[in-house]
Amino acid sequence: MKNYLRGILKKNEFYLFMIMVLMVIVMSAINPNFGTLENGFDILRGTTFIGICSMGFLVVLITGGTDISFTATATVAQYIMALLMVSNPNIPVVFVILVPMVIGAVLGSVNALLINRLKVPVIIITIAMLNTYYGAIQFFSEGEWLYNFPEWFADFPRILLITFKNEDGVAYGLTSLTAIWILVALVTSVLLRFTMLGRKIYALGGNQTAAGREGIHVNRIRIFAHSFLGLIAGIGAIVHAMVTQTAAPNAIVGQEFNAVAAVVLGGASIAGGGGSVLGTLLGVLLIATLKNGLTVMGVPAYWHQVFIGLTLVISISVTAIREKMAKKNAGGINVES
Amino acid sequence: MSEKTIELKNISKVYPGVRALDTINFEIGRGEVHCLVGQNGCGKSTLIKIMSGVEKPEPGAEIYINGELCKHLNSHISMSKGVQVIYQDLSLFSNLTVKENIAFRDNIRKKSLFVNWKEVDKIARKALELIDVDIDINAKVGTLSIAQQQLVEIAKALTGDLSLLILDEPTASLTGKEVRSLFRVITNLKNKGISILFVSHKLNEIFEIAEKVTVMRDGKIIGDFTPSELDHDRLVYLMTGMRELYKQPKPIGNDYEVVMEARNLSKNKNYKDISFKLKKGEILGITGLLGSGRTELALTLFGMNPYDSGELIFEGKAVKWTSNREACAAGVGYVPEDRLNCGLIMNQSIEDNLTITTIKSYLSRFGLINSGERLKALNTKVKELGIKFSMPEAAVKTLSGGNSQKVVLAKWLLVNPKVLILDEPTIGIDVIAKNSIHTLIKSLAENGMSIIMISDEVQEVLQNCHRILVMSKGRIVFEFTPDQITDKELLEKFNLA
Amino acid sequence: MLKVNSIASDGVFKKARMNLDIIILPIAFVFVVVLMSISTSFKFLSFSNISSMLLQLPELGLFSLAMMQAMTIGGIDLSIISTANLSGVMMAWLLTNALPADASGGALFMYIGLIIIAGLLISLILGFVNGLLIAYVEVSPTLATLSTMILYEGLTLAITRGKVISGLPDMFTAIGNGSLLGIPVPFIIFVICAFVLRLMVKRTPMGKYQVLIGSNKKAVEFSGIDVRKITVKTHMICSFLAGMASVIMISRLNSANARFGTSYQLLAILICVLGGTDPQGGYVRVGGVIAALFTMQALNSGINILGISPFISTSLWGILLVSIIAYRRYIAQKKDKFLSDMAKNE
Repeated sequence: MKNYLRGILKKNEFYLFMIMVLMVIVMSAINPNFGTLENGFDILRGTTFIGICSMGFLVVLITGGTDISFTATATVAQYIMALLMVSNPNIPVVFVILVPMVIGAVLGSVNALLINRLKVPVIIITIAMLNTYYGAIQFFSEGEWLYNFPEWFADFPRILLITFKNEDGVAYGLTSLTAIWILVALVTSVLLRFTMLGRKIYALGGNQTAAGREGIHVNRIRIFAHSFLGLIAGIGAIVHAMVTQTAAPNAIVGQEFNAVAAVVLGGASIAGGGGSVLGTLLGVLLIATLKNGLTVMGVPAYWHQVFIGLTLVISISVTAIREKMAKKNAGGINVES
Repeated sequence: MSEKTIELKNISKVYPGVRALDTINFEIGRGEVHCLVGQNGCGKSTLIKIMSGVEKPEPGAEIYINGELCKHLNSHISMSKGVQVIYQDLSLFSNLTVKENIAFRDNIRKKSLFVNWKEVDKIARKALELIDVDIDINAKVGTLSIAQQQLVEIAKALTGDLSLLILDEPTASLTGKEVRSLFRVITNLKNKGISILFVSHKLNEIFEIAEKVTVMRDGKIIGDFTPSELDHDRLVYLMTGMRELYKQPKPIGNDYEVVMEARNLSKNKNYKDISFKLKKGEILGITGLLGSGRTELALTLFGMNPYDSGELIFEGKAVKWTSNREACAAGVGYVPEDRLNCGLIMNQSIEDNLTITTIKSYLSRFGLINSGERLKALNTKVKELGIKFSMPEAAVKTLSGGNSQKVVLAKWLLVNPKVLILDEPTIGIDVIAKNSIHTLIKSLAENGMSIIMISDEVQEVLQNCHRILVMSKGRIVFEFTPDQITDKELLEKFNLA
Repeated sequence: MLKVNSIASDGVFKKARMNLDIIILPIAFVFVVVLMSISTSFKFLSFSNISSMLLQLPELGLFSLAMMQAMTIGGIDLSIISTANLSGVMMAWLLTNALPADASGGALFMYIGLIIIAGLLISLILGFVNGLLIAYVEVSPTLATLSTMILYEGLTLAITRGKVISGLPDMFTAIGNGSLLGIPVPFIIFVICAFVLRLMVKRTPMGKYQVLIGSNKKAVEFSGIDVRKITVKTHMICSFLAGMASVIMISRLNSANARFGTSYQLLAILICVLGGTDPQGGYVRVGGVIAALFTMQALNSGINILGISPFISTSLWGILLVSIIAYRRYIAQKKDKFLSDMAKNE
């Protein structure tokens, strides 16, 4: 038991959890409205989109890669889905769900193919693709916002799976969209922890040369990871449209960094090979809680990014320093004493 | 069932600018322990890569595994046919646990979709038991020592169907006890009908365990021998095609001052209680197995690896360098063991590489580089060391091993160091260049430079050093002068260490 | 091992690569100018267009040179625009709040000068932070500059409260809009910066170290050179150039805010890569980047005149960047094949 406890203390996730608990306590003390269950569910609902995308981003990061074009992918997927719904109001639900996922997966695999072929820093390729997709969708959409979606599309997000009533008699609770996020997180967790595919993803991030030697198809794993991110971005796009009930070409792009911040905060190494769903979830919640807390405390919106930026800089520094310490203490010679 | 585990016919391999293998014919019998020897760059690694399917040979090659012709061999297929390789730069995932690393190949082979962690546990424990080793299977591999990682790698190889186990310099960082374990396992496997191929140049290993020895040179096979047909000199002749010349260095005067002195230097997980004196004009040799702490000590003397306790005295002053800039300023230079990654910048010009240490001394007004002066310095050293190249702008990677090592030497000679540390200075270099470097080292010493020479090759230290230290597991275990001992006795001393 | 006479062939290829870049880029530039002139019925060559290009080009050029510095050592700087905006906003704030109301003439000149120096100092500090994170804390350049980008932009937003600062003094805006002997002042500033940078890159130890570090950081470290210090200095130079760009930018537009010039980032990367800079580090040619700069500026201006949507051009830059990288890779593979064929025939 003692070893188990000691093992927990070493984990990154534990500290994140403690920081969050601390933050909630401090902020609730400053403003009692903060620490309510209703506010909690509010936070969950507000961060569902980023939470979903972070799962996909985590997988790509573990392989040792990176892909910040997923917001553009989500935009394209969302817009095409919206076009379909607006032009055929009786379109079967199945299509509305599948189309963005497929588009996302396809765009993601395009990225992976380019990364596999062109041996340049991955960030440059994804910046290029981000702009390509974004520019294209903005041009073809002519900036037009789409709305007037079928009724079921508006009804679905209102479904509550766990209901509470507040003092004004208004119902609140766990929304269906948040449930989708939880589902995505579970699937990702099972993928990473219990499937060989997931373990190969970790292996690739840990040592690409060894992965090749062990018979892992490096290029195929990369295609999977990026398609997975694209598919997840597609799911996120559906959720986002359900929350806002519109599809706008410029609504999503620009938020990539919230996902990056969440995943990095959650302990994933940018070099690849490390990271967990739990850590990422905590990262997402931490940032969302921070933002909400700042709002509740009356800090103006234009100050929020400073806090996010500072959190990010501090967390990457802490992660880097810890990795340096670990490297120093590892390996070495068993000196005869 | 075929009598031969693996048979290679007409194997050639060409890389950009290099012919690595030239019409090789090679075979290993069932249950045979076979040793592959040759200098660095002779093609051993390439041959192994072809046997394991990682590289494809040029068209016209035939590969038979267990009697079956394999037309399109890749790493997957070769592994499924029972060929497992343990590489020198281990194929482990440092971010995953020991048990997962050991069971990894098994899981890939079974093409399983899901991971059964209980199975993983079982497989890992069984494999480690086979080699009688105790390692925490839940530890992340990145936290283990190099020797432990090697054992994990070996355990991993034992999890699959094995017809042929290929080991690339497996004993480099193993202790005597661990080497015994390994040889026991090898014998065990051999009795089960599994063939072993290992790459080594340690004579004692070859004599102890090998049944057949194949010698390679310049991408060709020179011949197959039994250990009884070989001795050190014959082996060197076969590997290099030449006889080593040697001339003992001129002895140094007894009244020469001490340039560098170490007193009980210790560093956790690196070395312990290191004490020695280095006189002006002396060539001090340090030898020992890989993993004995020699390079770690050398880096401390060069300022890149600060020591924990003890004293380092340079020219009479106690120093505790934290960066190599301090060491350089004091007058210490270092020629790294890893020439390709640490010694040279392969894609950049010979000129840039050679003058990197002294570029600030060729400045004219406004801090601009005077290329005329720089070229002059380059040409002086090139002539002095006999470096052959086409033009100064050509990239260093176009040079042969010997010439590129001379560039590294030249760059340090330009700063006129008082102490020059050479870490495996002639590794992967042809004999002619090797001899010329040895001659150079001796003449530098005669002119007052102190040299520390670290080398794996017993002959090299015996023939070039005034005094020799033997290190093992982080300590100095023996100190002697070349006239006090023969190389056979020295080899035995090694193994006991 | 038999080694091919790769010495000669590598030399041939080095020369070929250099010649290729030197020839192709100016040709591309001429081609673009001709194409644009014809398709815009020569509106492209009008005085107003040329002077507008000469006004925009310096900003883009300085950002490109900044990115080039970061790429030379094998890294990247995603925060150059945020750095420019932050120092620009601080300068704008000082210019609109800290100037004594009655200052004029020589005294005003001095105050404005001090404020500009303050702005440049701020960009140096921002670059120092980047360098610190990358060299000493050892965070990857992508992650480090991504994070500082967010932080710097956040700070800018906080200072401006999301609004635009405008109403800068005339003496200051003269920098961005004035001309000396008919040549726009920003252009003169750019030429001076480019000249000094080229001198540094080609003829000083610092420039040499940068290229060597970009090629193999470890080996440079082992040669007794302070790689970390040079990395920090490089990022300070990079951010300094971004700061210069912001001086020109805010004086030209007579305003400053948090989200100016975001389209410059992709263009700067594109120009560097087009100009021959290797994103993995170790090769740089200032002349190439400048030729690429002119080409891209001409292309961009032409597209604007033709009325093509800026969204299409954004897309186009993305596709162009990927295509150039693919082309360079193709050339590299051909070279390898050539050398291995030579080896086979030995």
